[in-house]
Amino acid sequence: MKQIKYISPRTKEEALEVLQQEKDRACIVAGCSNVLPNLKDKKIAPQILVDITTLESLKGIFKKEGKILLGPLTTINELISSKIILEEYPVLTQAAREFADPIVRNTATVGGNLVTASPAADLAVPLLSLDAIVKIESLGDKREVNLINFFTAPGETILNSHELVVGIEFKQSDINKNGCFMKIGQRKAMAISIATLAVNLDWKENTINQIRIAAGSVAPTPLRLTGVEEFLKNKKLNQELIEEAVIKVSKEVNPISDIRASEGYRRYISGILFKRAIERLAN
Amino acid sequence: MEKEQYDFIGQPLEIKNIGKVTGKELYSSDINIPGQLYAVILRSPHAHAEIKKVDYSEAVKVGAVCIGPQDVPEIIYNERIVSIPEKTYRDRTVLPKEKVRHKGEALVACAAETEEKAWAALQKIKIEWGKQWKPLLTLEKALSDDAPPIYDWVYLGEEKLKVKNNIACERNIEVGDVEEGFREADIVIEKTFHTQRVYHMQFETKSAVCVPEADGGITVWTTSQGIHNVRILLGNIFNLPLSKINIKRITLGGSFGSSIQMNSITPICVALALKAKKPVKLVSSREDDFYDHAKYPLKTILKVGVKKDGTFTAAHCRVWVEIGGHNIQAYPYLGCVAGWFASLYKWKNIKYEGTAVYTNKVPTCAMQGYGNPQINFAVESMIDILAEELKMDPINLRLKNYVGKGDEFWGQGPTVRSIIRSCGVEEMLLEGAKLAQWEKRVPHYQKKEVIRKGMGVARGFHTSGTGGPNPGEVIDYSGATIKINEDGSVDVLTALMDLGGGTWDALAKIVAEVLKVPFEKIGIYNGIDTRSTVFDVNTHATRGVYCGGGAVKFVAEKVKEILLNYAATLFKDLPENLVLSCNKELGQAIIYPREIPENYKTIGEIAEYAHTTSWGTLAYTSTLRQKNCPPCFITHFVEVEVNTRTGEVKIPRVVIMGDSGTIINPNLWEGQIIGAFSRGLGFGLLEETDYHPEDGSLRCKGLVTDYKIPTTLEMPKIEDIIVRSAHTYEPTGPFGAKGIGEAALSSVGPAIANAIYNAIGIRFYELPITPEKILKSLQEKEENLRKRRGE
Ligand SMILES: Cc1cc2nc3c(=O)[nH]c(=O)nc-3n(C[C@H](O)[C@H](O)[C@H](O)COP(=O)(O)OP(=O)(O)OC[C@H]3O[C@@H](n4cnc5c(N)ncnc54)[C@H](O)[C@@H]3O)c2cc1C
Repeated sequence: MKQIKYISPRTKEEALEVLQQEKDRACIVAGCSNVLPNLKDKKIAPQILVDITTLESLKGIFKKEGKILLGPLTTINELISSKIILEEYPVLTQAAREFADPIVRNTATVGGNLVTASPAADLAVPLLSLDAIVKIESLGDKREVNLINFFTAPGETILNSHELVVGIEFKQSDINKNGCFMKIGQRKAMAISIATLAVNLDWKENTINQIRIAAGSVAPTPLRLTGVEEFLKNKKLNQELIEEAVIKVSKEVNPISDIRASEGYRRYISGILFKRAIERLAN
Repeated sequence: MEKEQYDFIGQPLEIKNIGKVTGKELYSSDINIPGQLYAVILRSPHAHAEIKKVDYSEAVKVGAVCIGPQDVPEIIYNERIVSIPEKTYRDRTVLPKEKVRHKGEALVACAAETEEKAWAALQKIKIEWGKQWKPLLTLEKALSDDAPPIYDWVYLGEEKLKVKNNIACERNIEVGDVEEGFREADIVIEKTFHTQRVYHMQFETKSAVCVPEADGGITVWTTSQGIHNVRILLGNIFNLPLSKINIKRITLGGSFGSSIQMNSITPICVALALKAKKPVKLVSSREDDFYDHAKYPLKTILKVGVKKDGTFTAAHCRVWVEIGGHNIQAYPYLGCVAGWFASLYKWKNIKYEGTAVYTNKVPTCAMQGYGNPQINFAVESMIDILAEELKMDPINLRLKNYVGKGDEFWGQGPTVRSIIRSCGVEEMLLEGAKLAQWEKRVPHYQKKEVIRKGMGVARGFHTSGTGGPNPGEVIDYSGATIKINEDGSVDVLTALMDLGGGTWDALAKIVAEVLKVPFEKIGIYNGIDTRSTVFDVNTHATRGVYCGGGAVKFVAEKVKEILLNYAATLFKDLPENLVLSCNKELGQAIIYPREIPENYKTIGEIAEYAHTTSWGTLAYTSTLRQKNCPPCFITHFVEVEVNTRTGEVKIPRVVIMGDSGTIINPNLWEGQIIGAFSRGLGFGLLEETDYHPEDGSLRCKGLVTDYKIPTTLEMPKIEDIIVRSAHTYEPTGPFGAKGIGEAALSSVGPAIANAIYNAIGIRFYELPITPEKILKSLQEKEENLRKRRGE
């Protein structure tokens, strides 16, 4: 068996330097709940593990100027117990509560979930419907990407091997306050999602001002259903409209058949999840 | 039978064996021997292929010890030797000699100083494959005329048999005249049912450690439900006298039947150790384990004739089972399926035809019920179908026809027949109906909600052991050595395994009850091996308490006799004038002359006296064959909520009635029933091992990521799981006890299916009933309705 080197940088800068030098040879590790299974499965073969879990600057949930900043090392359990997330961004709390089990939630991080870029990444979906932005740094450079543009293919993102996710940011707003997350799996816990769906809704006097719909496990990447969003914008919310939208959701998702569910079921169930979510938000 | 007053039986158990909760318990994979090598297995990438040449010379060069097909003994055996030899089919060697018959079949094994080295060596093995066939994965394909033969011949006992059409074995039984019976019937219904292959998913994967001893013998620790059978088999395969083989009894991390047979890795580990002349340790990964065993599936075509008043006139039951690449125990399986079928209801005339067929899939074996949950699904679904046709309450139809007290019972198949002496069926159906509020049940056509509630009932049973008045095709006896130690505490030496259900606790209680020695002074949990014990066949067939418990009770009574006889010499009295009782304050059993309790001696004092005067040890060894295998009955009342939008099924409440005669450990008994319900949920709604149609691989790849069993979240809340016991006493059982383990699973599947029917009016003939299947059926039903309305 090949030896793997392990580095635990003391500062973010040090981490960025290592990444700059090692590029593809390095693999960042946070909660390790994807990295370890992947190593065992031989899906990845890094030469150096760069452990970022000691970097305090990447931890925590911060409120500033009408925005929220999540450190990428925020664990799922920290999300669940955050009061501000529950009050201002309930869609995220709901998703976190359905994530894995309490043990995994103690180590798994938000950053790890996004960078893994699984089509079934459960936090990507609420973060998409919160219209989150990903903050990225590399040695001497910074950039920000809207989460919509972050995922490129199953397991792939726009992130380069020398880059580090340093934050996830989203706005404090009416629409972000009114959100709902739905998940369906083969069983109620510890199951890879068959379909997930998140809706954030801003509406007044029955008219939809703005709506964001995100879905997981129903396309090569977690995605926003912008077609349905467009269709619903400025419309009066009623049962008929919902039924129409349900059909559109089923059409806009782009799932595959696999061992967990068929394509048809995923399309259909996405519509149902949407219906459940919008009905809950509208009531 | 009046109720006896017990000191220990029937009391909730305080767990004394705390090794499991503290993590101190040792399992096979915890055993480490200085200087041991670690073994790994190369498994076949093909499902059906000829092995031309196995070359491991490069692996040997890097320091590994290897065995391949060329190294293992020629002995052809069946790894399950619970049946008598004449009825045992044999088709396998330690490693396959000519061809592999399922993907993942063990082919070569390497051992080295570390697991890493062993893995590295494994990469260097070269295999030359000959002819390859497309895997036969279904009954139909395997039975078709142009199917390649998976075996050319096999053995039945000493007889060499040609295999035709991949049929592994058949079993046909006829009682009475079914054709005549069907003519007498007012209604005849025939339906086809399927139950799927599920994986055992026991916590502990199969492991073995083998030490070659200086005298040429071996010591083995291995995952097993019966250590003596492992010893007999290893003796046969490796041509060693049994006195040179010692199998250690070690705790099992669950099994569900997957270690009734000697596990396939055990002789591989032994062969490696003998070749290496060093201790070898072999631990299966989960993937190894997935490719090693699965539950027998079943296809059933069931035809039943019934009169208008609900009396059955005939039943014709045809079953097929595709067994995978080896025949582990399909012949007795077919017999048992016949037995379960015939002993559920008084069909009057019976025709049974059973066929087991080889396929290129993982070999199947017993799993909690040995065909019982499979055939029960067909029969108990059919009873509801008939009841609806007859416009009868399903409970009444069951009450009218069930096989109960005084009736002949086939237990373990047609060769093991006995008369039922205890039966709580009626009590369970009627009391259960009250608890479940059966009378409030509404027919499905009155339900229109999105989430539709339903309730279903199903009943079943299992035998307690495999004994009959005459020994049949199944070997069944157990035994023990029991000795009163020098301080009055007691050692129980039995080979009987505890699969995690608390069998040892139950046995300790039985001994405590006979000898009146406090439960905590009974030593039973460790330090046992084949050398120190007499034979016990296996912990299977729900026989632990009834057969194993029966045997220790028998031996404990002999020890009691010896004790009283010896005490009589001390008291200068007759043994029959002495009273043995438990003094809880002293924490001791005491003996006193009748009517003079103040003159007591503790058995600690008596044993010590026997010791210091060199009288000897108060001990006895013997075996016992139970001459019965009484049915333990079960009844499930299941409530469901079917979400008609998503097809999801929720179980908000369940009432489970059990009949185990006297219950030795009430809390563990309940645990068995609730645990079995959870497994039944998986069987009914969730689990299936799917195969890739092209290469015969498991679609879940042997990973739990894509093989889901239910969690506690799928279960009803604790307060909504209502478990009650019938008030029965089994005259042939130890203190009136029967079994529970497998019975508890038998009717979960059909109870759920019947409840789903009651909720949405759709009958499912195939398990598992997944949300996708429900949704599809609902849509089809809608469509048909629309068509009928001419829309
Ligand atoms: C038993 C189990 C259950 C699970 N259940 C779920 C579930 O219900 N829902 C779900 O969505 N997922 C689930 N997962 C997957 C996994 O837990 C999540 O994806 C988790 O969020 C990953 O976070 P981590 O911190 O463990 O990531 P790691 O494994 O440490 O890293 C994952 C990837 O992200 C990269 N990475 C991590 N942090 C950064 C960073 N700051 N910048 C750049 N790259 C980074 C790593 O290099 C690696 O490629 C489960 C996993 C297991 C083992």
